[in-house]
Amino acid sequence: MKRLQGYDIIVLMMAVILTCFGVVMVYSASSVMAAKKFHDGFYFLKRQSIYALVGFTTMGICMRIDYHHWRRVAVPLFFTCFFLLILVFIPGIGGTAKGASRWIRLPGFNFQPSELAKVALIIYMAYSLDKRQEKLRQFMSGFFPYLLILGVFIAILLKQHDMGAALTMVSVAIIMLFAAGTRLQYILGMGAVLLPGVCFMVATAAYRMRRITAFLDPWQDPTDSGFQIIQSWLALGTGGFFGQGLGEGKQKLFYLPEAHTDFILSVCGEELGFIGVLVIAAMFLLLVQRSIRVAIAAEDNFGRFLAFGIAVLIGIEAFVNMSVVTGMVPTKGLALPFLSYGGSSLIITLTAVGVLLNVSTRMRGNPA
Amino acid sequence: MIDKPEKWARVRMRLAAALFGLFCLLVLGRSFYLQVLQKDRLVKIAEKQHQRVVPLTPSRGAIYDRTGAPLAVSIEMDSCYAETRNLENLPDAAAKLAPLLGTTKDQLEAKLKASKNFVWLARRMPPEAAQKIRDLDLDGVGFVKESKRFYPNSEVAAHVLGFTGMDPGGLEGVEKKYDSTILGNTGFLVTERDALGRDVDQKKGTEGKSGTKGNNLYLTLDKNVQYIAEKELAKAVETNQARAGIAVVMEPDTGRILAMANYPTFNPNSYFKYQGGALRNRAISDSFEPGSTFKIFLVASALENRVIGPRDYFNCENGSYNVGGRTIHDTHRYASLNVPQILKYSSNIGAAKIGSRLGPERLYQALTGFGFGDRTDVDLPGETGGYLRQQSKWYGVDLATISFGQGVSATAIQIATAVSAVANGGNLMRPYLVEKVVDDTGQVVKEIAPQVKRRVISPETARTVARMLEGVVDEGGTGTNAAVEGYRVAGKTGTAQKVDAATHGYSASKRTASFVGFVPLEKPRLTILVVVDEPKTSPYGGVVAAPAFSAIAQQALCYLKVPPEKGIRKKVQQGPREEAPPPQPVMEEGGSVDGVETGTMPNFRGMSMRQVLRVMEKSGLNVKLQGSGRAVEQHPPPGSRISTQDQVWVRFVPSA
Repeated sequence: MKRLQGYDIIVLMMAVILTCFGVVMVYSASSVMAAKKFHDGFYFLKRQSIYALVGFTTMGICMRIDYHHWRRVAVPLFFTCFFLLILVFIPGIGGTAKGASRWIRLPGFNFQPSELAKVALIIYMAYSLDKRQEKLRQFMSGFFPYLLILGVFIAILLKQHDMGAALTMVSVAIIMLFAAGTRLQYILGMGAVLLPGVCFMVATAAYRMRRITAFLDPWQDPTDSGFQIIQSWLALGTGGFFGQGLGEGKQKLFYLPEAHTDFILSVCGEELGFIGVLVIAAMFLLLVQRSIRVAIAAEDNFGRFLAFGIAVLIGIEAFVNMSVVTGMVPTKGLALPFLSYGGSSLIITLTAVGVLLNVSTRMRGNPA
Repeated sequence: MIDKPEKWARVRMRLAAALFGLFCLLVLGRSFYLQVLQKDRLVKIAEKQHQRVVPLTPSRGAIYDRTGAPLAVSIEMDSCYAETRNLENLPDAAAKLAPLLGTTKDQLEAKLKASKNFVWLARRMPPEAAQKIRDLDLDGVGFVKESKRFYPNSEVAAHVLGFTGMDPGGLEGVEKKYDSTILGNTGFLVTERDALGRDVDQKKGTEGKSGTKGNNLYLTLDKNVQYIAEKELAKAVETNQARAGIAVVMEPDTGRILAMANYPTFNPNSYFKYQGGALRNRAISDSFEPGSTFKIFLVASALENRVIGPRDYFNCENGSYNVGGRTIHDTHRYASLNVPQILKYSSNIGAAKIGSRLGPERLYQALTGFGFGDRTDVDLPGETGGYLRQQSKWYGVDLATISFGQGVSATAIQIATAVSAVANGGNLMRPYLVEKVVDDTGQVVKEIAPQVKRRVISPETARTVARMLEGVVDEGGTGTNAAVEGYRVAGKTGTAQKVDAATHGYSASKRTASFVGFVPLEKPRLTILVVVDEPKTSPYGGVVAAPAFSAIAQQALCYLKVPPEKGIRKKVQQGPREEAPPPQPVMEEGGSVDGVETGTMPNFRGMSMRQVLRVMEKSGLNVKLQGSGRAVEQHPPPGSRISTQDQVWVRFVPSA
C-alpha cells in the first residue's frame, strides 16, 4: 500500500463549511416554527448539529478506509438497500409524512433508505462499470441490465412517492453510464422511450399533475398548489441583492412550507440576498468541479467512477434543488445537500464525501 | 498508462463538469432575475401578505341636547373574533371557548367550521369575559375595539335618537339620519404578521390610519322638556287606557323641536327586546285623521282669502246639515254661530259652510300651503306626508268633510308645524332636531339655522286666528282643560273617528283625541300637540289630550323661565265643552275685558295693531284698520256711544 497522500483540501473545506452553514440556516429557518410546534426553538438546531457531528465522524472514518474495500460490499449493500426500501412499506416499521412513506422508524431517528440507496447505487455502478468495462458499448449486455436495475428502483421509489430520489438516481446512473462509455444513442433512445411513460405517470397522479400545473402558472392558484413556489419567489425577491440579514426573513414564518428542508435556499436568499445564493452556488460548483477533478485523476476506474458518481450526485441534487427553489423546475421533494435539515441526507452525503476524499488521496499525477 | 476508454471517460467527465458549470450559471441567472430585477414587484406582493389590515371601528360622536346634556354616547368595548385557518386545534379551541361564550362546544365547533376564515365570536364583550378569553392565549383568536352605543337616559327621547345595530351604523332616528356625520371614518391598522396571522416584529409597531372620531350632534331637543312631555303623555295615555300617544313641543318661531314623545316607548340600550310598535316614532311616521284641529287652517285660509270676516255668522242648521248627499251633524245644536264660536264650539256644520264659501281650490291650496300632504322635511328618517287627496278628485261631501278634518290624514309633526305657522305670524317653518354639528375638538362644523319654508298667511290673519283660538280654552270652549295658570293659551281640540281596517268605514268606538295649541298667546314660545290614540274613558280631545297639554305647557314654561303674562285670567275651573256645547248667547264675553265697555268707543291711541284687534274682538266691534304701527287716529272718538253696526276705523303709523 502506498503511503496516503493529502486529501483534496478544497472538497473537504467546502463540505465542512456548507454543513456548518446549513446548521445555522436550519436554525434560522426553523426556530419560530419549532418554538410553536415543539415549544423548543432549538429543536431542529440540536438535531441538525448532532447529525452534522455524526456525519463528520463517518466522513472521517470513510476518509481513512481504503475505498477499494467498497468494492467488496458493493453487491451486499445494494441488495440491503432493496430490502430496506421494501421495509418502508411494512406497517409499524415505515413512517409516513405528507402522503409519502419513505422512512424507517428508528428510536429517535427516522431513517430514509432512499438516501442510502443513492450511494449504494453509485458504489454498485462503480463496481459494475469497472468490471464490465468492455461490454458497455453493447446494448443487451452493457446497457440493458442497468435499465432493469434502475427500473426496479424507480418503481419502488415512485411507490414511496419519492419522485425526487427516483429522478436523481436515474440521472446519476445515466451520467455514470455516459462517462463510462455507453453509447449516447442508447441513452437518448431510452429517453425517447421513457418520456411518454413519465408523462403518463405525471398525468395519472393528481399530486404530480398539480405540481406541474403549479409550476407552469403558480399565480393561477396562489393559495394552494402554486403556494410553495410563489412563497419561494417572494422570499428571494424580498431578499434582494444583499438580503434582509441573517434571521430577519419573514417568509420562513409559516408562509414558506419546508423552509428548513427543501426550501432552505429560499430562506438563504431572503436573509442573505443574491450574494448569499451566489456564494452557496459557487461553493457547490467548486465542490463538484474539484470532485470531478478527483475522479479524473483517480488511480483506477473503480475510484474514478465512484468519485464521479458522488460528484454528480451532489451536483445534481444541489442544482436541481436550486432550480426548484427559483421556479425553473417543478417541485420534487429534493433536499439541498449539506444545507437542508435531515439526518439521513446529511450523514450519508458527508459519508460519501469521506469516500470521495479517500479516492483523492490516491490520485495519479499531481495531487491537490 | 492511459487506455482509450479511460481517456474517453475523462473527456466525458470534463464535459459533465462543464455542464454543471452551465447549470450553476443558469441557476444564478434565474436567482439574479428574481432577486434583483423582479425585486420590487415581489416585495410588494410579500408586503401585502405580511401585513394584516385590521379595520378599526369608527367611534360614533355623541349626541347632546341643546343644553349639552348627553343623550347618546359611545364606549369602547372588546369584540372577539376567530380566524379559523389559524386555529391550531379547532375542536380543542371550541371546547375551551364554548363555556366562556355561553354556548356549547358542538355549536361553536359547527360555527367555526362553517366559516371560511373570519368569524366573530362575541361582539362588545364585558371586559372580564374578554380577559378570560385572552388568558387562554389561543392562536387564531383576536380582539378588536368596537364602540358600543350607550343611552344614559334610557327611554328619554328614544324615538328621536333611534339606535344603532351591532355594526356601527345607526338604524333609526337621528342616529340613522345623521349616520355619516356622527360616524367617523373607518380607520385601519396595518400589522406585520406571519402566515398564522400573528403579529410579529413588535419593534416596528403598527402603522396605519386611525379612524377619525365622528362629529358630535347638539339637538334642539331639551332633555327636561322631553322628559316632561314623555311623563305627561304617558300619564294621559295610561289614565285614559289608550293605545298610544304622541306629544310634540316646538318653538313656533324657529321650528326647533324641543320635545317629541311617543307612547309606548322603548329603551334604546336594549331596543332588540321591543316590538315594532314601541320602536316606531309615531310623531313622524303615523298619519291620522286630524279632525277638528283642521278647522284652524280652514278659518285661517278663509280669513286670508277674505271670504269671511272675523265676525261673520253662519247658520248652523240646528245640528244637522245635508251636503253632497250626506248629513253632517253637530253633537249640539246651534242656530247660528260666528267664526270664533265655530272654533270655540267646534261646529262641523259651521266649518262646512266656511269651506263651501272658500271653495275647494282655495282650501286645497291653503292646506298644501300649511304643509299637508307633503313631508315637513324634519331631519328624521321614515317621515310620511299624510294623505291629502288631489283637489281635482274631491267629490260630493269631500269639501265639507275636509273642512273639519275628515277624509284627510296628517302626522303630528305636520299639525304642530302648521299650527306654529299660525303662532309665529304666518311662516311655515321647517321643523328640525339638529341644532349644530361639532367635531371632536369642539369646533363647530355646521350650525343649522331656522328655515322659513314659505309664508302661508299674513301676520294679521295669524293674529286674528290666534285670538279666536284663545276662545277655545276660555270658559265655555271645548279646550278649557288646556288652560295654563298665568298664561294665555290658544288652541284647538280634535276628535276624529278612526277608520276601521276591517270595514273600511269609520269605527264606532275608536277615536283619535288631540289638542294642539300655543302659549303664551302674545308671544308664543311653545307649540304643543298632544295626540291620544283610542282612549277608552272619553273620546274628546278636550278631556283626554288637553290636560296633558296644560301640564306640559305649565312645566315647560316654568322650566324655560317664560315670565307669566300680566292681566292673566285664572284658569277656568269649569269643565270643557266637548266639541258641541249647548247653544250659548252670542258672544257671552261682552262685559269688561281690559277695561273696554260694550257700547263705548275705547281709546286706541298708542296701541299696537295686535292690541287694538284684541280689544275689538272682545267688544264685538267691526273695525277697519289702516296703515301699520301704533294707533294715532280713530273714528268715532274715544268714549262715543257706538253699536256693532257702526263703522269704526283706526289709523296706524309706524312708530319712530
